[in-house]
Amino acid sequence: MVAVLFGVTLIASLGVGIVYRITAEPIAAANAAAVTEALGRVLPPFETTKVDTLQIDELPITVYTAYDASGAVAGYAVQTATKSGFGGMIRMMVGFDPEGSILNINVLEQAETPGLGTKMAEEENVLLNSIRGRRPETMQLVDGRIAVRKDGGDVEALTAATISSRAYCDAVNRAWMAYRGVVTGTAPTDVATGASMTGGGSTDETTASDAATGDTSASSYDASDAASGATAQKTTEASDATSGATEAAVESSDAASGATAASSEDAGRHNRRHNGARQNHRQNGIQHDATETDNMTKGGAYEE
Amino acid sequence: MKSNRIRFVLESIVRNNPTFVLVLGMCPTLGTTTSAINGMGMGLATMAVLILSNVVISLIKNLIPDKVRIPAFIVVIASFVTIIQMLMQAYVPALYGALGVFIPLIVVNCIILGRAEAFASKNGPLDSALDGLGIGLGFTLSLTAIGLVREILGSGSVFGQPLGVADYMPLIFVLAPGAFLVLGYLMVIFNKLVKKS
Repeated sequence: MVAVLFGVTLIASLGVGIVYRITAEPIAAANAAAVTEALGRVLPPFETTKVDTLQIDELPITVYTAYDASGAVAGYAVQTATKSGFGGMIRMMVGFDPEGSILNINVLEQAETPGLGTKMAEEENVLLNSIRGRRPETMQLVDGRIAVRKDGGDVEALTAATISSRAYCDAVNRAWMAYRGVVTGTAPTDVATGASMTGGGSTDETTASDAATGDTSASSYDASDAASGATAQKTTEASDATSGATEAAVESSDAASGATAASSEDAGRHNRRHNGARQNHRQNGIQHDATETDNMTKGGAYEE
Repeated sequence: MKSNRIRFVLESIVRNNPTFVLVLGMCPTLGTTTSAINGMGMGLATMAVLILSNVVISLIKNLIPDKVRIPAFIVVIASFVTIIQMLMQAYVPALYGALGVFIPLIVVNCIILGRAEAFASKNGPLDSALDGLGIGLGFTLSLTAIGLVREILGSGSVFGQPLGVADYMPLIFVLAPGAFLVLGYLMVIFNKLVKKS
């Protein structure tokens, strides 16, 4: 009896293994094709890309720096995500030109309400049209982040899909954060607990020399900016969902801004330490420890 | 003999229709039928698993002791689902993305284990394959029908082709309540028609 069952599982796993072997390559090719297609939709024509992987709020964010044939930067494409969609995870690709204007946004994956939130994935929707072609810096920012009109920003929200629209802005904000991080060569830290840098952390030549020339002002600005941005977002969301929780959120935002100074110093030091390390692929794994605010964000997203 | 077999397949599609008559596999039925294409994709994937698992189970039915037959069947079904999943991911990534979580859930679709228990473990491989084909086609057609109705009423399109009336359609048919409504009414109509003939 046991032997028969063992035989059945053995043969079954053998079969699965063989099919895995056969399909591994086409699956990888299909995924790569999907990435290339998504890049093509948000970027001008390019020759090669450099890949940076960052992590903001436990969500992996990939920044593709695209170079044209002459080796100049053609643009940046950021694969970003947010968990605060009405139907859970939303993934999208945001393209920036070398000056920092948003070229295009392509929603890769969403599970929003059909007919309402799903409009975010359509071409020429109001969300996209009110963001495309603009530099986020020049938009009406709320605590350093773009926001929908309802929240004081100037992004036109989708009709009857405010939560989806907020999530869209959240993902764009993360993309912007990651984009700034890569352009300035610093990690976009989200530091309620003090950013701990894990992973390779090595930088390519250009960025390393940037750090060497003592560009600490830029990097600490970036880090603190990112931190305050992230905190602001949490505060808004938390207060949205449970109005009673506002106090707590404000408290923790205080804590976060307190930690900012320390962590941006950290970031600077880190960059100097790895000065000169040459590597084509840079991996900045920024671990953001889950804090009380984080939990609240999650709770808030669902309660809404 | 040949006409008997065709009759048998037709019988499985209509008289033993898994969705409208046996009322099995409701979870994927309600979840994936937001559009005709999604319903059809889910139905075809289920049919592929059903035919394969029916054939294999009817081939090995004499080797498997009665006491462990359910775990053995589940292993066979789960393996085929994994294989189908990997094949879809490799060759039809768009459909795979649309069906998402429902593909692995084919494993727990009661139609498949139900047919393994009720039919394949008592009949030969050819009949089991035909049973899988019939039940699978019945499931596919029902899901496509539900998806089509929901898509027309909810998003105003047919197989993804917009009819130009999207803004006037009651959105609820694409949402979960619409799934129950459409399923219920189609079930009534189906059984009425079948009884008459």
